[in-house]
Amino acid sequence: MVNVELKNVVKKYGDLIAINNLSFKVNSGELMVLLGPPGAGKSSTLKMVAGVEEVTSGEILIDNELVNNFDPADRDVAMAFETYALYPHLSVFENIAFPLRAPKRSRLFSEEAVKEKVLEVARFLEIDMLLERKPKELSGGQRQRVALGRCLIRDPKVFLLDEPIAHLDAKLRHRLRRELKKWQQRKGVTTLYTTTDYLEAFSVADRIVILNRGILQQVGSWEEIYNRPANTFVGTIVSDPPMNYFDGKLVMDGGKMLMQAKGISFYLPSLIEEKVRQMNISEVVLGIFPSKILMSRDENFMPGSGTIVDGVAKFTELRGSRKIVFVQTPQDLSFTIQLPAEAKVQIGEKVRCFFGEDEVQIFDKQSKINLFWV
Amino acid sequence: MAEVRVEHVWKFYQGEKGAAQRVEAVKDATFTCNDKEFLCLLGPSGCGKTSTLRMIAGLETISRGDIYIGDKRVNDLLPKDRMLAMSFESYALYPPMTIYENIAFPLRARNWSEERIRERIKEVSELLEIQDILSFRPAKLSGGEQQRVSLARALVREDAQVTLMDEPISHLDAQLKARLRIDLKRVQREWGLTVIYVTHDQLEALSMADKVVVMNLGEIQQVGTPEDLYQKPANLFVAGFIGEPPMNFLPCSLMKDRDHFYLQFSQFRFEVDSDIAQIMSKENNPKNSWILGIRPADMIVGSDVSGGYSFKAHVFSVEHLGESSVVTVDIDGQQILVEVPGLSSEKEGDLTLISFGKEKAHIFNALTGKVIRK
Repeated sequence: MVNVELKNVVKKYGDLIAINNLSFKVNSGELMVLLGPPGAGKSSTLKMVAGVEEVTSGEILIDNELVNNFDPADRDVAMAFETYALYPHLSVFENIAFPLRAPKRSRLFSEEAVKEKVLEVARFLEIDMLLERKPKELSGGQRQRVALGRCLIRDPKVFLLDEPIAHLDAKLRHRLRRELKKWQQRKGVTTLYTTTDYLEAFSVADRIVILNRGILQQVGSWEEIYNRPANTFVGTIVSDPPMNYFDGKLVMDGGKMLMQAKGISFYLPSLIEEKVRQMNISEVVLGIFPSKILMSRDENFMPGSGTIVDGVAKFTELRGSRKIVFVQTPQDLSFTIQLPAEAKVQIGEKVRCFFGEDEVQIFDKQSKINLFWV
Repeated sequence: MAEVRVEHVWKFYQGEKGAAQRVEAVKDATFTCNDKEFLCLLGPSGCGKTSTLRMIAGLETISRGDIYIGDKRVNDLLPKDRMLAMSFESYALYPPMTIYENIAFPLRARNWSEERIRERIKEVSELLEIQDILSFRPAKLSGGEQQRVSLARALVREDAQVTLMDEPISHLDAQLKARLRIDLKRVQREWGLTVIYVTHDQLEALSMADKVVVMNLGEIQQVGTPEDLYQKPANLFVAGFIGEPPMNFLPCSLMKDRDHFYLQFSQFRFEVDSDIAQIMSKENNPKNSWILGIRPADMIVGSDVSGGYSFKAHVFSVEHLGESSVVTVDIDGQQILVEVPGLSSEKEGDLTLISFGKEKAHIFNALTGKVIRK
């Protein structure tokens, strides 16, 4: 059983701070995804855990042992890099088998056992028909799978997977994200995994670390993150189309606190009201995911506790099983709604939208932090 | 503005060993892009979409067939005489000039006043968010920025009859891509542009195009609206290429039991109306090999669709993706994906009921790939 812990890790490249005081813990056997846009610091974090990059300050612990000064080989981690780094003179078979033939392990595996293990991994990754080829005869997606195979064939303390399925076609990507998770669970190896795709993160992760510009934004299960995004950055990256935001001012209305945006007014839930008073906040941002807005043509539409916003459907975007509707209000607010593809919406049509009280997030305008979360 | 007609167009490339090795990159392509229409050429790499666009642009000769822009046959016209605006994947910016100069260049060549050029560049650069980099030189820009500049150079021309774009947003990150899709569509509509747009990304095509031309291996597979392609795919290629997660394909045989016809998949039977069975019997399909296609979003889990098809299967995995869940079930090693809205309560290993309406089933001849429809 192996856990991994980062304590106040900083990574600088010259004056540039790539990782800024990062701390989190990966539990034993857990699959932790690092999610963030390009440049967030995901790969740098993985490389520091692998030992191929040094930490500027802070501590990295594997299995409760400080490994800052350990060579990569002594950390017993297996890493699949996004840049595949295959041995060009070796066949696909030999590339995958390579870790089993390393001097330390070569006596552990008979030729037969090596063959069996390589075949198992190659079938799993659908490259078993390519075993005789050299890397240069492979497509980018095939090379990526060979690099992944070379990593998965080992039984290390930790797997480090850097965007392992980013360059594969949709069908294979969908299959592998399910199967990788099962593979990892079966082996029980603690894993760090990076991606820029929130759906992939939600699908494979036990928990997710969200990074932006080297700074930790939120750690949690997909449910914790989706139900309560810690700030507006998180709300934006875990939804496509991104979360809708509306700037609003707070006013007192008969002893209750009312948030007013252009044409939207919304009583703050009592949970938030208390915090707003304590923190002396006067401006907030209301956020709601496009999939959480309900829409109707019925003028009496009021499905629960929340607020009604009337607008006009400006245009629609079909996305396979979904339809995205762009709505504009007479007060010039605009937002997106996600509906099933069958939904009938005419361009220019008046629509009545409902923002349910339980589906709305309230952020402090200055810090962009979710007030439900602090 | 003008319509573009592509009539029985072929493109041959001479192979290395002479005429016998001739490669047919585009085979007998015929389609029309109407005035003010947004048309997408969609397909995997090597399908002939870029060759087709380059023939319209005049950057490649037409091996056989005719291309008309407006009423004029343009086969023998130079690119500059075809009144086109272009934005290509390879950015082709002039390195010694600033970004502003790069965008202004084609306008100066048309004797626009400096005043008009400045206004126009301001408008387009705000749209594409490149105001701050106008004084830079191309070498300083990231790939995404170069793509936006290249796009600006195409959009800045008001006098173009047709705007051609080749993967203009493929190198941008997900967020910017999502925004530019919307902006491009809005600009096309507001400015009444006729656009022919090449992409390999089905989501881009579905969300922006009025009409999509799907290509594979040099041949047009289907021409239709995004709704047509999604709901009525003409063949297995289109069915598998459009939609994510991809359509499920169940291999079946056609059986007759007393007066009823069935598609048999594993131990399950799906009844087929006799008029459909009649059409199927006339197909070229000596091995009695059919594919039942069903989209992940067109099935439900845990209850029955009245009058529809249903079967029982074990849950292989459940992926929670925020606004939806993907439940994968396994039948004799064949995985079937079901996409359900919200949070699925299914558990791995459970035996569950899957059902779908008869009208949601697509039947294909496995030999020819052709769809069977009344």
